[in-house]
Amino acid sequence: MIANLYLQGNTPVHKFDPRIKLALLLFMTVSFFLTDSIPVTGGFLFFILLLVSLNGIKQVLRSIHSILPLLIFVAILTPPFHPSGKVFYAFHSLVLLSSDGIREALRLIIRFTGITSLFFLFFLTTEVDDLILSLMWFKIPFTATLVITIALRYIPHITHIYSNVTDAHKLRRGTDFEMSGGFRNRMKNLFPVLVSVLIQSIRAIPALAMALETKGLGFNAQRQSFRDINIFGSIILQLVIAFAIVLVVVLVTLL
Amino acid sequence: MNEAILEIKDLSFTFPGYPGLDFPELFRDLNLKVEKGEIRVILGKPESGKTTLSRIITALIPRYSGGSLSGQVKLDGVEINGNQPYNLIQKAGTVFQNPDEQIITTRCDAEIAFPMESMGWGKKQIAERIDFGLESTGISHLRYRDPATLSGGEKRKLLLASLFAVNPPLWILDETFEELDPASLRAILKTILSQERTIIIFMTKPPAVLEEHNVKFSILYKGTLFHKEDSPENFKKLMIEEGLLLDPERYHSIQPYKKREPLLKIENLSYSYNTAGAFTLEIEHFKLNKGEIISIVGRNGSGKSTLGKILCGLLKPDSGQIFAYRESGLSPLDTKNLNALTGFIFQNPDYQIFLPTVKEELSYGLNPDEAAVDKIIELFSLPGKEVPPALMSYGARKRLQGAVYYLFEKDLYIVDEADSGLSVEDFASMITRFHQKGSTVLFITHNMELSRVFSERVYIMENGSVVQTADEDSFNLVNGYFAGKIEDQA
Repeated sequence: MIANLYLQGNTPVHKFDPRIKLALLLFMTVSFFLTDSIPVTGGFLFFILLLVSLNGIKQVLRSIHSILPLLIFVAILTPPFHPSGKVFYAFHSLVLLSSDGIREALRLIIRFTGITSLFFLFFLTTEVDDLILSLMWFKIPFTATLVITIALRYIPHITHIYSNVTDAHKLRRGTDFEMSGGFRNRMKNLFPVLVSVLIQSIRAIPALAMALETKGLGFNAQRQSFRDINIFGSIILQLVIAFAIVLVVVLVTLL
Repeated sequence: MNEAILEIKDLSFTFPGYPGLDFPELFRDLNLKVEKGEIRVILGKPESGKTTLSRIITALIPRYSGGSLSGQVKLDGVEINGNQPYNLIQKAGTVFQNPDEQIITTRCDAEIAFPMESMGWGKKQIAERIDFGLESTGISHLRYRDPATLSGGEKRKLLLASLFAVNPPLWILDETFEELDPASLRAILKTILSQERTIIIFMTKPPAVLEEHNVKFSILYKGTLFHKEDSPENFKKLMIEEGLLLDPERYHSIQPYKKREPLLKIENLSYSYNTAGAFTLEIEHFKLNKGEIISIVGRNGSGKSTLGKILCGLLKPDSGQIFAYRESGLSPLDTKNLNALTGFIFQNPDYQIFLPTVKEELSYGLNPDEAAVDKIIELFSLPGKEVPPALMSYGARKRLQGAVYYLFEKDLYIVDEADSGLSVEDFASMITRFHQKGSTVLFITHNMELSRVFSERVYIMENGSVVQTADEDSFNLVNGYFAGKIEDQA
C-alpha cells in the first residue's frame, strides 16, 4: 500500500500544527451544518477557497471537479422536492423549479463543496504520519489510528491501481481506446478496466496484512514513536489564529 | 561446525485447491540448513515456490494462504509452526518481491522506524538505527521523501535499510537484488558482508557480482532443493534446463552492430515529476532504428523507466518532441500516436489480462481467425485455448501478455524491468519473437548477460540524461558499468 494524498510543500497550511488543523477540520465541518444561511456558509466556502488559492494547492480544485457530476445531480433533483416559494417552472401541477427549491439546492451544493474542499485541503497538506501522531495525541489508540489512516488511503490506492490499469489498457488497445467519447463507448471500455482493478485491489488486502505483521504489528510491547509532531514557528500564534477563526465562525453563525 | 540459524526438515506443502481444481504438491521433503554467517542463494524459475518458501520461513504461510504443511522449520532454535510473524521479527527480517506491497508509511524514515516502534525501542536508539540504515544503503538523501515517489530500485534500498536498522540474525531477500544496478549492488553487498550476517537470497537470475563473494547456491527444482556444493557439474545443467542460465549453445553470438534505417528520434526533451526532490529527465538526442534490439542500463533512479513511459506515450514531456521518420520526412508524434506505435510490457501482467479464456484474451479487440490464434498459442507455448489465464502460472501469464502484444502490429516494443519475474529463457524467447517480426525492441536491464547477448546497442543513463551510447567501439564502457565500476557522479 503505497499511495496517499499528501502533497509535499512548504505553505503555511502545511506548516500549521496538525493537531490544531485536525480540530479546525472537525469544527468547520460541523459549522457547515449549524446554519442554513446561504451567505454565511457561502462565506465559509469563500474563505476555504481563498486559503486554497493563496497557498496554490490547486489539487483541491481537481477534487471539486471530480464531484461535479454529483453536484449537477443535486442541482437537478433537489428543487422538485421543495416546491414552495415563487414558482419559476411547473409541469402541469408539478412544480419543478421554485425560489425555495433553488435555495435548498444551493445550500446543499455549498455544504458539499465546502466539506469536500476542507477535507482535501487537510489531507493534501498533512502527512499521514502527522495525522497518526495527532490522533494519538488526542488519546486514540495506535491500532485505531492505523485503521483510520489506511481506510483513508484506500481511495488513492484504488485510484493508483486504476491509473496503472488504464495505462496498460491504453497501450493494449492503441488508438481505439478512449476514456471519453459516447456513454456507451465509455462503459464498454470501462468494464475490462474495472475487472482488473477489482482483482488487483482484492489481492492487495492480504499483502497489506502480511506487510504489517512483518513490521511487527501485534508485537507485545508498548509502542514507541520515533519522532514528535513537527512544530514550525510559534504554536501560540497558531492557536490565536485558530481561536480567531472559531470566534468569527461562531459569531456569524449566531448573528 | 557453525550453529544453524535455520533448519528445514522434510518440508512438504500444498496450497488449498478450488472446487474442481487441486494444486499439485509444491514442496516435497525439502531440506535446508543455513548456518550462521552463511550467504545462501536459492535460485528457481518463476512459480517454483521461492516466495512461498520465504513466507513459510517467516510464518506468513500457511497463516494467510491456508494449505497443508508438514515437516519441521526451526528458526534460531525456535519451532516456527504455530508462531506469529510479528513474534519472529527479531529472528528473521524479510524484503518482499514487490516493494509496493510491503511499504506502508508515507515517509522513508518512518518506514525504517516502523518495526522498531512496534518493538518499543527507545527514541534515541531508533534515531541512530535510522541513520545507520540510510547510510548503509546510500539513501540518506531520501530520508524525508514519500516512498511512492521513489524508483523501483530505490524502494528496495529503503526496505533493505529497514533490515540494516533492525539487523535480525537472518535476512530473507526475495528477488531484492534484481532491480539494483551493479554499482549499488556492489556497494550494498560490501556493507552487508562487512559484518557477519546470515542471508537467504531468492532470485531468478544471479548477477555476476555475487560470484566475487563466498556464496552458496541452491536451486529449487520440482519441489525440492539441490545444493551446488553436492554436485557442481549437474547444478549448471539443472540451471540451463530450468531456463535460469542462457544455454551457451543456443545463445552465443554477440549481436553485431548494423547500420539500420532510423525509426524515431527525440530532440531536447525534458520531463520532471511534480514531487520535490525527484529528478528531471533531460534528453538532447536519442534515436531508435528500425528492427534493432537495444538495451538501456543505468543507476537506480536515473530515469530509464521514465524514458520508457515517454516513448510509449504514457507520460507527456514538458518540452521537446519525438519525431518519427516517415517517407514524407520527419513527423512529430503526440502521446496518442505513441500509444499506437509502441507496446509496453508491464511488469505486472495482470494489469493487461482480464478475460476468462486464453482465446478470448487473444481475440479481444482484434478478432483474428482461428488459425492465427492457434499459431500464436504455439509460438508462445501457451497451455491451450480454453485455459483461464487467472489459473495459469506467472511465466505463462507473462507469455500471454507478450502474445497479446505480438498480435498488435507495433513498431516498437519496450520491455521494462526485464530483470524481475521472468526466467532468462522466457525473456529470450519473448524478445526474439518481437525481433523476428521486424519490430524494434528496447529493454531495460541490469543484467550484463542479457544486455551483451541480445542488444546491438546500449544506452547508459545517469541522473536523468543519456550519458553514453555504446556500440561496437565502446562496449568497454558498458562492461565497466556492469562490473559496478562506474561511480555515481552526483
